[in-house]
Amino acid sequence: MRYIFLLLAAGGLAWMATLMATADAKIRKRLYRRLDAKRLADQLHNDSLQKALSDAGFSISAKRFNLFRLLIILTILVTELGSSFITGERSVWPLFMVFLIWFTTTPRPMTLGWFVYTKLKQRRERQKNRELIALIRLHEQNKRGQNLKFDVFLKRVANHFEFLGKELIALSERVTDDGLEDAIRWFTSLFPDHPFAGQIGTILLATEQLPSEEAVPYLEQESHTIARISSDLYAERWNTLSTLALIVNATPSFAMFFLVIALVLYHITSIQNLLF
Amino acid sequence: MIKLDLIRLFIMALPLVGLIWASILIADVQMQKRSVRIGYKLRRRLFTVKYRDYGLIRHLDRLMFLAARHYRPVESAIRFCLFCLLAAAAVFALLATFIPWQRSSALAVILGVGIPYLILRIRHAERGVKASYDLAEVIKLLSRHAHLPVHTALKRTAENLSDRSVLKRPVMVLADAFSSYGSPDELQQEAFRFASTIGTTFATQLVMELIHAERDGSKHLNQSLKFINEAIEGQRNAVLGVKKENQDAIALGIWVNLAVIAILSWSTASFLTWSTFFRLITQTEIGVTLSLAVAGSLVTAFFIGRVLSRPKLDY
Repeated sequence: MRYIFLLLAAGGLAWMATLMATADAKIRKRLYRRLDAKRLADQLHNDSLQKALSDAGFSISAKRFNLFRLLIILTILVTELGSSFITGERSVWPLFMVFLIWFTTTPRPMTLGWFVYTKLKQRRERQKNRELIALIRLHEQNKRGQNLKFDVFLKRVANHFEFLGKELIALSERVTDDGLEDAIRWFTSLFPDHPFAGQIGTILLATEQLPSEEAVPYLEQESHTIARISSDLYAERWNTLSTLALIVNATPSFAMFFLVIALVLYHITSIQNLLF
Repeated sequence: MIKLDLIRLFIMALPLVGLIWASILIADVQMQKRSVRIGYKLRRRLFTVKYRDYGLIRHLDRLMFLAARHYRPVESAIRFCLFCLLAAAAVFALLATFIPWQRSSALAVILGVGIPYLILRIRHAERGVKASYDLAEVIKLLSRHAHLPVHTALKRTAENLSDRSVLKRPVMVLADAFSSYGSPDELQQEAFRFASTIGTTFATQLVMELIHAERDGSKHLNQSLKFINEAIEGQRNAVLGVKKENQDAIALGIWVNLAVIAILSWSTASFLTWSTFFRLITQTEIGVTLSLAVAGSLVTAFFIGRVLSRPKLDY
């Protein structure tokens, strides 16, 4: 109770001091400008966090995410530290929790948050791969059916793509403005270190000039090749995982061996202590 | 003494459980029959909210689409939210009355919200894996009806799918979307939803082919379906190969660990007698920590084995 009164008195004094200090209209205006909510919120923006969030597929802005993080941390600090201040107990739990929140949400390298963001980014890239494969199939359909020009075709199908839609519209614009070759060079540069994006670029470039009777079998064959590449990638990914999985899955048995040996040793030593 | 305490606990818990039950009933009636009992204004406010605008509802709805037994758009997501809220409140009330503990609110949230959500996620993941295999059946049936308009073909396919197929309802919903869309965007949204519930390359391909067929005629649809089917069968072989590679890890996770633990503890117990063995495990520090470690890693290994034994049919 005493603390509450103390806090109330301090708050009242501070309030009165601000009232007196801002009696002058000029100073008050300056203070309000400095305390403008929008300006304060703008300082929460963070470029690397924004990039990590949008790469991972979250539509939340970095500003809002930071605000949310800050609010949680402040709530934890105020409630925990307030209660420990009143009861007089000291503990490191609130600080540890704050550290944990920072550790799981920051995009800095070698943290848990970084790991999560990279995993989500890889997932999103896999979703984009799906659409790249589908693009080749649609291109083949187009060649077989209406045989539209490449930029018209792109603009027409771009809506069907959930993740690549914007890139495809940009590609279509570039094809009209800069010509096919530059546009496709730009498109493949969007996917660095990609297993088959470069190949897809070459396929698009090669088939654009061909008449449809020749283009269709070529495209069919290439889709088979890409399917095989993806399949190989899948097998490779799982094979690297399988060793790790084997080690992890063998731990319970080893731990049990260890437990039994430790228990027997403990038992023997305790009996020895009893006897001698 | 303990018995008396238990009885008192039971009697005190009874009205609380009754209260919670009654509130669940009221909420249920309100949601299901849109009863007139609660005031008109509140009702109007509840039903004019655009629930789809909220990310949480959309997310839950996406999960429920496969995982719920009786799915209804948006409604089952709201029901799930209500259930979680009530469960958390009930757990909190029980904890607050019987075990005065500082962190009971956190525990209530974990028990009331975390566990149902976890169950929902696990169900969704399991049925998603099953859906990726059922997609092959859908594509095979669809190529039989490929000469028809897309929505009719989808409807026939959904009718012909076996009842055990997870995709029966999603395909039906997709057929409805194809037969009665108001704008291309609407169709697009529904198609994305279908593709993202399965979440494989083949689903994306299928949806794109269908939309393309809807716009430009389904003359070449059969050929594309055949191609997707071929790709699926090829990938199925790759998945089987991977599974063979992982056989050791799967067997370890599912049953070898358990067998090893049983044999070891049996042989140790026959050497030390069971009572000594249990006392050693439960009353010594090293026994407790190591047995907890064994239990934790056993559960992890089991889940890893489960995941490895049924990989998604995808690249």
